[in-house]
Amino acid sequence: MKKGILLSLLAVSLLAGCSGGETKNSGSTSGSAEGSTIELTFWRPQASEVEDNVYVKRIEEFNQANQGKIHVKMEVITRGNSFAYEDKINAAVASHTLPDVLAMDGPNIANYAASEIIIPLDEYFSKEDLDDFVPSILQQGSYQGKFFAPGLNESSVVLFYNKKIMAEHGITPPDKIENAWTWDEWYDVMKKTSKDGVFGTNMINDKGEWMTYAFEQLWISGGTDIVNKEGTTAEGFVNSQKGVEAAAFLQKLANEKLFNIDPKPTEFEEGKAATKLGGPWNIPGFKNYPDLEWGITYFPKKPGGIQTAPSGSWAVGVSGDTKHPKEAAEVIKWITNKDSSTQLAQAISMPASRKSAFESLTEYNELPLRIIKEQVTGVSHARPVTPAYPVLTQKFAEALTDIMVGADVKKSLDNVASTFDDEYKRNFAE
Amino acid sequence: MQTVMNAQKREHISSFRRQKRREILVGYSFVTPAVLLLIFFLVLPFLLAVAFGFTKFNLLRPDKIQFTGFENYKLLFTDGLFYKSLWNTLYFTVIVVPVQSGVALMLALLVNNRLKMRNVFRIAYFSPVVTSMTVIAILWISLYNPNEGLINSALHFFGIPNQPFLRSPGQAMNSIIFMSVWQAAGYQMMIFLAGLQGISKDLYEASSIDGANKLQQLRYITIPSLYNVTVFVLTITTIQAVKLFVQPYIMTNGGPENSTRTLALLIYQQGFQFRNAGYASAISVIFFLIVVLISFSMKKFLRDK
Repeated sequence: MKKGILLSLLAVSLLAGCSGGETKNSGSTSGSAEGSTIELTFWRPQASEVEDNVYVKRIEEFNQANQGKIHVKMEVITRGNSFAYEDKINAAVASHTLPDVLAMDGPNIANYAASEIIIPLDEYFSKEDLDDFVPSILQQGSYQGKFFAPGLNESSVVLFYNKKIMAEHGITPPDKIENAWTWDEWYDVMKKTSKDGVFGTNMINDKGEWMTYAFEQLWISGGTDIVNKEGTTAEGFVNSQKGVEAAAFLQKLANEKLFNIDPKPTEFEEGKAATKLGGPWNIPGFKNYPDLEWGITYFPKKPGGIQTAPSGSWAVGVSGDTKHPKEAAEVIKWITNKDSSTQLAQAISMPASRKSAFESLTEYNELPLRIIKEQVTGVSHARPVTPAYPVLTQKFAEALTDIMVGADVKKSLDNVASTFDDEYKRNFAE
Repeated sequence: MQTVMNAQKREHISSFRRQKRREILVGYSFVTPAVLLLIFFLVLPFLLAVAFGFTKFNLLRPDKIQFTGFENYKLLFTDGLFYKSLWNTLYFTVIVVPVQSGVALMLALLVNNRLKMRNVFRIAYFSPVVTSMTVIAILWISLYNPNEGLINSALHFFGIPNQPFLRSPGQAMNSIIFMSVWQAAGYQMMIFLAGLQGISKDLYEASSIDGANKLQQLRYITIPSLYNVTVFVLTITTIQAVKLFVQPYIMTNGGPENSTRTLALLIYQQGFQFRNAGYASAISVIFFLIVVLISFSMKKFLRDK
């Protein structure tokens, strides 16, 4: 019996070892140091090959630079479905086997910080160093006045447009931020272009996290947000008058069938949508459609409202389980420094998380990418920083989906507010 | 002489006992792996769920579990979403079980005939069963597309306007029911088919000599002979139906307006997405009791007949 348990444990650990996909040790480093080397582990989810390669290279360089002092072993966790990585973290929390350094999605930072899974890093970053990060990275990485996790890169949502369709209707999308389209102007464009199987826009990436990521900005543009600044209550924010107006705008677009609620992912690429709310990650795919002539303009704002844009990215933090916080913070600083940020931005078509990194990214000085840079470095807002974020994003996404298919706007938003507030009071209020 | 006999007899008995004991041991060692798996992955987790049901347990704070007594259950019985999910689950079950079993029986009767290419039909009806439910659910999202889906195009041909299907609170659950029946009926068909082939040909021959027509044969021979198979089919279909998860998870995420939120989906959302492991455990316990109640009453109802 004992043998059986041992055997099965062995089998499980073997399987775990296989799926871990550990990166190769650069070999000699750990051997030469004779015990004085501090071994650190670093978890991050598997991404595209080019992205993974940047990390492998940067970690190797870190190990060389710190030979005899620190050695980092990076474990790339496969992410079969979107929660496999988070599930692994949950399990590691329970068994206190978290790595020293871990990557996490931006909106999870507050939740992990509140649960003491990650520790504050303020003492390891100088003021100038922090100021070099774009503002949305600092916003996303801070919880209750402390800084926990810098982002590896940034993201943004812009409005892509089909140049041919715009030309047909004599529309010239703005290329200066002060002229950015308002909701009304965008609506007029959609009205004009939406016919013969072409939708005015394509704006449903998925009905989950995307809904919060992209559409929370409509609340911000109106001068409110979906929760208060402290992240403790949604009542009077998500369901405020301005919030209702934002949601009613989305419902109007849906009622007039200006977008497809269940779109094909390549609707815009195939010329079946005149505009598209999307991000830099869409751009590489556009190459597969030689007939498509595309341009970029700013994320539309509320008439008379605030110019804003979505942001958010994966970030890295130091786990509460680590025995070497100082060394782990060194790794974080290295992997998010100017060189790393620049190299990552070059490899994947995502904007950098540091202002200084844009210096060498010259392609961001000209159209169309200039628009992304202006949004990232100037006007972007991070998603709400609250430990009850998982409930907020689920309920908000559900409500927006319901509203788009005809549910009562006020009632749906009231429900988000009361569910979030109950949850916060029950689990996070002191 | 006598003593020798006795000794032999004793020897014989004790060797018999030894053998018997060995047999018992072998038996136990054969069931041990299964029992261990059951204990570790079924009994123990369930007992833990009962225990966690009385606690406030954030999945990310396993070191800070608080005992809260019946707090979760109090919350549960005032949670509108729980009743809504319970109602949705029961609605799905009550519709799906008879419809799916009925369709399966009809399909089985069809492919039990001596038609040409009946194996082709059998495979055709069975093929959705072997396809992953996730794949099928994604496929049906595009079939049900309210703007340009295949089904709406077909309706258009008959002059019926576009239907919202999954994107309306009134039609979403029924759309899921339709596609679930289509997906799963093939499985029950195979069981019915096996049952049909177990019915003796003599019965049909004898009845046709007595002048029974096809309908009478169906009524008085086929259906009564399938009674046990039917009980089995109804039971497994019911158990599958109350566990409804994949279709709403993939296709609607419980919406619109919670019209497709089932108990399984609610447990998943509370436990894993919201990380309220304590509350989710309490719902699981109630869910378990409901399933037990249903299967016992079905067993009683169907056996008493």
